[in-house]
Amino acid sequence: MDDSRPIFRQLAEQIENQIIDGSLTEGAQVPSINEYAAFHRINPATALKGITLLVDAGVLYKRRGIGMFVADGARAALIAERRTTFRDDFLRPLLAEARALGFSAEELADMIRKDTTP
Amino acid sequence: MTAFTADSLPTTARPLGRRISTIMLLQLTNPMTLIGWPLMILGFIYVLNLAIYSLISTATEGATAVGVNGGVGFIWVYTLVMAVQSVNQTFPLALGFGATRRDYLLGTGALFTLLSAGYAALIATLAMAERAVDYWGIGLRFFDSSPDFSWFELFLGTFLLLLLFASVGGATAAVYVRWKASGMYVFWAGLVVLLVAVGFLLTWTESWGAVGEFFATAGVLGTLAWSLVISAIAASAAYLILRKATPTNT
Amino acid sequence: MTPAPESLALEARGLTKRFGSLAAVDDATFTTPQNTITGLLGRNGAGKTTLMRLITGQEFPTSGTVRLFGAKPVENAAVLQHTCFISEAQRYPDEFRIKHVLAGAPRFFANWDADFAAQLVDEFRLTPKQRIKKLSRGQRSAIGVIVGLASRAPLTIFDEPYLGLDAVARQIFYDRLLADYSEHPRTVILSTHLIDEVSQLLEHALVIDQGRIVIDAPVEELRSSAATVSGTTEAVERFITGREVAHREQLGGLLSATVAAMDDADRAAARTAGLEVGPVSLQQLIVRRTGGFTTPSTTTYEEATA
Repeated sequence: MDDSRPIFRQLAEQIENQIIDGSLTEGAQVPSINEYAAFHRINPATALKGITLLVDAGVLYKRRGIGMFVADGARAALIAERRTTFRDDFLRPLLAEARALGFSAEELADMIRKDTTP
Repeated sequence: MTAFTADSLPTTARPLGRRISTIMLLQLTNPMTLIGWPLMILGFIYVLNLAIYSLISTATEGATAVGVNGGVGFIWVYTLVMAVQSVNQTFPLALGFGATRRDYLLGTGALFTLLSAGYAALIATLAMAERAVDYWGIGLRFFDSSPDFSWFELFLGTFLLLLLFASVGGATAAVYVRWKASGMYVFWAGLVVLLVAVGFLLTWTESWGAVGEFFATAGVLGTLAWSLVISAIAASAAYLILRKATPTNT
Repeated sequence: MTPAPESLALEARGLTKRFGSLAAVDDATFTTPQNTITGLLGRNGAGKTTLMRLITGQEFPTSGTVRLFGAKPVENAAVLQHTCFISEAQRYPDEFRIKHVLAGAPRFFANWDADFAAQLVDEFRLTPKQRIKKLSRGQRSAIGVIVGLASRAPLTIFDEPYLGLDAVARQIFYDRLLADYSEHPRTVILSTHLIDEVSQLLEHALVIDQGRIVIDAPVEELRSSAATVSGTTEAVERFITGREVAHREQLGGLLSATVAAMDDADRAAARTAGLEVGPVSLQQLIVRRTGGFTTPSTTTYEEATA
């Protein structure tokens, strides 16, 4: 965890990433607040805040006395959400740098094509 | 998961007796400091005296020493040292552990009263034993400072004397704990000034005779009973000084 | 009486302690909710120790009040029994061995866990027979950490508990503190100037500088609120007008300013203005807030002390 951004957001993002890449499958139980706190060496209240963020967003759900689980449809929802912010989060900074270096749109498209065809 | 909420925290203090015994037991946690070492040193001094007295007795072909040996006085002075050290070393620790100054003082007062009584009973009993073996036939009057006294009189005299040394030690330590080295300078300077002033006053008013008379009429036990006044003043001073003391670890 | 939304462990109002003309703690007003880990952060000599001694009734306030679990702490056995104050240079009686500390302490603390204490002694590679006097600086600090953790006191205060502790031992302390706190929530105040090391353990930060409380906020809020804004001097100046600036650095025609409060809209506005918005770590933020403000309030303070 880096200290310059809210830790609870970083924790939430990490769990989201694990759901997106499939290491946490839908219906699977996620570790407890205390386990997250101990593993990341963060305050349990912070871990709780991160988890609450995901529970409120419907990504995780609680089962009283048992624990927390990944909600059905969470992966698809997360991917859909990430796709909407992809342009702002990744494309814009890339284009800004490309513009500063004088790449044309054509040259960029070429590069992308080369790196995406195996 | 046991969470402490404001509701679940006990809002009353533990019984006073428990708080006092906690303070007493903290200072007795290592029993060597207040019981083990003093007894061992006293025993060592006794054995040493026994050896010297037998040597002299052999060398002088059976002449016995007369008068009191005085070695038992070690325990009086050592009581003062113990009181100084114990207060100085355990006061900041006890406060860090959540004790109040008042409980600390009550506990320490109770501890040293009990210790004084214990040592006094031991010395009076050993004095009786010395009498029983006729001072080993070599006149070693180590514990029996007053052959005319009963066990109880010896106990009472020794107890009052130890109490005096303990309370003076406690007051001295209190001055140090509260005001550190500068307090010590003022304390000792003040004490010297006071003693000189009293001496001067007695000489000036030609009252030394009256003082001697006072001690003569009061007798040993009477004089020691008067020491209770000094003990009480010293103990109260320790209490008043430590009530406003802020412990430091330097 | 309206019930408090959350119970308070501590409540200070105008708390002040003067030593002669020096105000070691100056008009401190804050509250600490129960069952949180609060960092008391500040430079050496900022007033951290005096504040903690006021909280535990070891020091008498010059003015103002402090309430501990709802009551004044001075000479109050009912609330002081819930406290454990581990001082940075705690002295122990000369003839004490580690086992004597572990035997003397439990009578003071209702929740003392002897097994936990024994486990910690092992983890810090100590043995009960060792004489305290012969221990190194760091080993003596470890004793304080062990007593503080095993006491499970409802208010446990660690005053710079790591003096002489190496990185491994400090990590053991942080790990055990977190794990045990998760199992047995209690109010912990951790006074330190090693902010980077502990920032992730903390829920709340109380920052003291020259006796005054300068920050009293949830740590996550601090992390998300402060940001550095950099760009051309002109653009940055235009953006920071009217905002609280904790620090500014000029390099040629470029200016970088640490802005204390930046919400998402502010960040977007800064980006639109062509400025770069960067993160500020808690340590940086506190260093900047306690190393000299550029806001009017600090200027006044510096003028006053000049």
